[in-house]
Amino acid sequence: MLFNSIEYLLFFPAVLLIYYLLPGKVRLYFLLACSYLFYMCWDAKYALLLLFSTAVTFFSGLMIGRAREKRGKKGKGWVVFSAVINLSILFFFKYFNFTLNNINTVLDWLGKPALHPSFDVQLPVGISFYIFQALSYTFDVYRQDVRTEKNFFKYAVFVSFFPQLVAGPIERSSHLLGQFDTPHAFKMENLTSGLLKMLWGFFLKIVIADRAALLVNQVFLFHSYYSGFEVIIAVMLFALQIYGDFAGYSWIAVGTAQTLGFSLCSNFNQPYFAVSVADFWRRWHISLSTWFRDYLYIPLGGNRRGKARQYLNIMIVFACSGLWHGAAWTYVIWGLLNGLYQVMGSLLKPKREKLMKAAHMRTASFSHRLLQSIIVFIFVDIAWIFFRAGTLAEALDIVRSMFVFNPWVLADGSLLAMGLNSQEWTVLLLSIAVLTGVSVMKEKGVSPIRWLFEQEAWFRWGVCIAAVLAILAVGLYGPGFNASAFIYFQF
Amino acid sequence: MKKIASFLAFCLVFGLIYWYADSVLMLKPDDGVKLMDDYRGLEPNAVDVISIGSSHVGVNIDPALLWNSCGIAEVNLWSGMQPMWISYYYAKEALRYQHPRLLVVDMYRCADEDDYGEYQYSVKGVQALQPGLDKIHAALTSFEDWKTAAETLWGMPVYHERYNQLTKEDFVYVARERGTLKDAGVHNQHDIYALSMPDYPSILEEEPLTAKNEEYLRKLIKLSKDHGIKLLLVTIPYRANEKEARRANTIARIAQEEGVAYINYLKDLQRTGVDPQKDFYDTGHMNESGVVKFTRIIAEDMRKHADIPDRRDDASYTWFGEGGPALTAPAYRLTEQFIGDGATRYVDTSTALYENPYATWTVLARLKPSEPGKEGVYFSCVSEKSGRIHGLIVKQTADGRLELIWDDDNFTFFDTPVNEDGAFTVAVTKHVDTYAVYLDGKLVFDNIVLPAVAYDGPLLIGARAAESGGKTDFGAGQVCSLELFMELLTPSEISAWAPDPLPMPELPLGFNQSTAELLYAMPEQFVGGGAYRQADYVDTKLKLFDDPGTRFTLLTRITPQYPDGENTVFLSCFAEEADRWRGLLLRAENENTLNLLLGQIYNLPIPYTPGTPIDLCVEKDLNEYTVYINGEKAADRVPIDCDPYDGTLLVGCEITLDGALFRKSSTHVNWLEVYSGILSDEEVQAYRWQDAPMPSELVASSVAYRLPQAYLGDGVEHAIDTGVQLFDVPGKSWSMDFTIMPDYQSYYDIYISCFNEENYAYSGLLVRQEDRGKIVVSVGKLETIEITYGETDKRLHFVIVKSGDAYSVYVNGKLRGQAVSPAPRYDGNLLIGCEQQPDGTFFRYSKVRVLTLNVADEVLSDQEALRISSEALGSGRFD
Repeated sequence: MLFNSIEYLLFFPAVLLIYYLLPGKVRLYFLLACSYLFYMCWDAKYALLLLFSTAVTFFSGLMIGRAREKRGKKGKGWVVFSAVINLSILFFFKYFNFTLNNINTVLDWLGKPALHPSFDVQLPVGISFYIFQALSYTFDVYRQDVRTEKNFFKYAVFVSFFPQLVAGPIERSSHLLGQFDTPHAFKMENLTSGLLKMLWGFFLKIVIADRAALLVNQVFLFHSYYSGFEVIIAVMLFALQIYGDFAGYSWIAVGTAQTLGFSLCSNFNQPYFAVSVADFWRRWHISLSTWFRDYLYIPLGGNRRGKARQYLNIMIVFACSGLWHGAAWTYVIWGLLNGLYQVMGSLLKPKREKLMKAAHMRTASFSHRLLQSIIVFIFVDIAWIFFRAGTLAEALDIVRSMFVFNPWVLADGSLLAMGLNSQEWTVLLLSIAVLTGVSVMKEKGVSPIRWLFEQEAWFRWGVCIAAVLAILAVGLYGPGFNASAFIYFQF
Repeated sequence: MKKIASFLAFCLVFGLIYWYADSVLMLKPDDGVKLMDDYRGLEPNAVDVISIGSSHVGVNIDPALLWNSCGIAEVNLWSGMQPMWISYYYAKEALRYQHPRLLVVDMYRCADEDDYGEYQYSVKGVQALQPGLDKIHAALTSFEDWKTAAETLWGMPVYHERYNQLTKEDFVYVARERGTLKDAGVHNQHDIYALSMPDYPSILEEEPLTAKNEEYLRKLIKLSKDHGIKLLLVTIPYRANEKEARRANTIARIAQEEGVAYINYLKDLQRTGVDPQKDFYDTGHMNESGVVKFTRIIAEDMRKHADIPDRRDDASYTWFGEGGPALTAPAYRLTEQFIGDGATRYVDTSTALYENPYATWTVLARLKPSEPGKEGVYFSCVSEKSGRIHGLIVKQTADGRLELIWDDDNFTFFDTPVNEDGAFTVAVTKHVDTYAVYLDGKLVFDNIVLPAVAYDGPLLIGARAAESGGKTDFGAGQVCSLELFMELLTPSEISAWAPDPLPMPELPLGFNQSTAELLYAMPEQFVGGGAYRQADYVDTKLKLFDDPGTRFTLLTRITPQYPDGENTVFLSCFAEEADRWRGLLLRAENENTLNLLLGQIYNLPIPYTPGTPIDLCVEKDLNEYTVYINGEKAADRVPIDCDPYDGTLLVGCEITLDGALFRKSSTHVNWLEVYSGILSDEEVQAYRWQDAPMPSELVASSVAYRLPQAYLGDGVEHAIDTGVQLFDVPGKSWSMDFTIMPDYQSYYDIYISCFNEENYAYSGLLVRQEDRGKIVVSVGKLETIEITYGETDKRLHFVIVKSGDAYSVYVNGKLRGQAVSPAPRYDGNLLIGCEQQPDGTFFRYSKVRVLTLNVADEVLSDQEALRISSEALGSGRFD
């Protein structure tokens, strides 16, 4: 079920209520049942896959622990076992069709007949997330970052915990697993804070992301009809859409977990305020970035084997990241672009600093940071084109069409013919203003929720009620729209 | 604990605010949601019939018509494309609030083959229900997917997008006044969509209903039985296909099995009177004409299947809320009483009763009949085409009864009620096409159903419109009050109608007068033209045509001339409106014919001899004219209509509609009298024609004068002022003789003068020595007669005769010259030996010798003038 669906609005309060009414020792099993129920709403049969992955990684963990205890070995074989099984599952379900298509392309080029298997492979929702989460446990056990978990049910809850099951954040066992050890008492702060985070997540998702998607979808679908600033605006709004979509989901997940007394890691940290692409990736999809850093980049050598190797590692990591996001070359290119940005950034850094020094640029000033952020945004946004486009050719078309000089479209009403009417634009721009304001607060280290709690009750209540009603009124949900599925649910 | 309490308080506040926000955003269609909301606000026991179904119910059954025409308190609880199961839940909810005598449910959707209706219609149907288990069941039944049902139940996902379409109604919805059900008739379709219907009576086979429809049909039947309420299932006429027609047969069978009534109007179209070719505006909905027919027939059928009382005059019944609607202001109200004259008078209310042939109105009037024998209309609004009338006429018959006519085939008579003041009240109500008549507040005639014909003519009081465009059937009765309401008043309101007395109208001249009375007599003759008069026309201030019903007699003597050509006007009370000339105009057409224009252009030519007086009598009796010329009838009761003209009778000129006088004429009106009322023929014959006194300005002073002794001028200061005015009245006649001893050598000496020296106005009489041996006599406007004489002529005896404007000059027994020269008025005196300046000072003193001077008022004949002028020495004829 989607978070912005009627099912979730019925599911969540029921889970919350029953959870706190149940005795502590039963809660774990209740959460497990709810999580599997949540997942089975998508497709019941793939719950078996989830269970299988859980079992494999749990068993691997046990074996690694036993190997260490009994035989003093590290249990590397079990790591390989767990990785091969899980990545095979991932590969099969996610990349089989992609691989097949590429093989058939080569065969076609060679004049050979294409391969047509008799079965159809569907991508189970959230597979990329829970596989990575489960694998992270195996790696953590191997590295002795966590103890072997002996309680299968507890471990199963860790892997399948419904708030973050289908679209992250990808939790580490060291952070989440231990939270299932003891039951959590009801705390009003958790409830209110969690609900507020969920509210913020809904705002990002159904007010901003789904609204921006109306224009983005239209322009990308009919990109040959648009050019210049029209395309630029669409590309900018896609950056906003994907942020609102993913960050929104993450906040709903974090908020849901908090209402239940659990703490999930923060997944986004005002990414579009980044001053470099590397900084961007320290702020965007933090759980995935750190997963790749910890389980791929560092094992590859990280930055400890010279610059060339470092750059190669970066490219490998981002190629894999791209591939993780989607089984298509556009995602790979997107990943490689981001890697390239960082490599080039690193290569050009000395020259940049020299130039800035020569120009006496006030690097600590707000304007300098703003300029940096804008430049980073531009680079990131160009990369997003490849992420969003259906094919490489389409992405290149869109990039080319951006280089048409037509600023008059900003004033001649063209903007109102791109999927958003004037009222929608107004709501979107106001929402962006709110988002910017809150992001600035957070960037300055002020927690908006804490700040709100410090205000008088009438103000707190007013803000909350107004926020809820505003989201209910202007959010894009309900039968009037094809509720755009959370983009990351494909992974 | 404190935090939990705070949280709960927050939830309460949030709940209240959310409730209001939800009420703002929620869908508020006129069908479904609003109707049910209003219904729930009705007082208990307010409703006798509840009709449930789709728009076939909402559009085709008119609750307002049911109430106004039949007194049936009925509500339509309908929603667009309402499926059978929603009808069931509507009925279930409806019966929680009211206990009607009859439940009518339309089976249109029961014959459908879909298990789920269209999304938006299902939403409307479900959202109209009160929250509760039934609403949940209705939602789950209406949608295939439970999630859609849940969203519909919650509501916000369905209508939150309305945030950018909100109106004032949305924000005040929670506080709005409920009770629109009685006005819920949809009555505004005039389009026609001709339907070709299968022969439904011949379709006898059955087609099974869907299991779902049958289930809910049986549930509905059970529901009605459990509540002890009579159920009438109906299939309202629409363009059903054959399958639906067969399913209707199945419904009939089920109804029979279950012992409930079912009327399939598809098989009964003829009885309904609904014509598929004319009475629909689409395949399922009737236009105005169809709705009226169908509502009437279903009203009859409702009463056949349940005991439904007529609630209209039940004061305790609160169907319309607190005591019913208040009397609104009338659309028209007579401002003063109307008294007809049976021939010309009427009032045009400018209010059309049949512009919308289906309009509802009530006319109330307080009437007083005229004498029996005088048939005529009190009020009417009727069109006439090819001799056939449509509309309404309320009239008095010749035998004094009251007659109401709607068309040539529909009319009725009543005995005129007799009350103390002689007046009675009549009220006529029309609702769509149904009339009712009340006399003195009591219903005497109702349920007259007539096809209404559109007509944009106005309601007339005192007459009716004729096919030719004029008015006819003028009444002689009195309309003391009349009010028109564009709504249907209740019997109580009609009975209670008691308007304030209206002022009596200003009656036209001579109205109902049996004897004539003198209104005006011109005090002196009118002699037009000439600047000497202070006023060159006379305004009698009499309005002879301000009302078509005036009656007057005008008697005048004129002495026609033709001095001003076609502009010679004697009398006028005439509207110079192009294409609408009217009134009275007497003028000279040419040198020997007068025109008498009467009414709306009736031209009577009158021959004349210039200078010979004519006695003229003009009588106007309503719209008939009689004219006497010199005692002889020239026109006898000629009917001439005349639109009103409120100008006054003028003598000697005309007046434009803007009030500018023109055609001031040099005419002579010797005599003018005007009477209100009509003089009889004998009175006219016996009338004493005469001349009014001449104006003082036109009475000439005597010129008699005799010079006592010879005058010898000194040329310095000595002159004689005779005190005689020779030209005080233009055209004055006199004769004078005088003897002078001329000085042959002198020149420019003035012998006698009565001469206006005003610049460019030189006129009068001047006798002067022009040159040696030449005397010039200037007469009139400087017409000169030269008199030459020899040196041996010692005495010259002049005789000057002025007859009107003609002068003759005799000297020493010979006529020396004649001239005709009108001289304007000059007040100066006859002087001897000098002239007089305009400022009155004398000048040109002359050394002249005037031996004798005699002036007389008579006009000497030629013979006498010759004789006198031949007499020698200073004695004139007057010695």
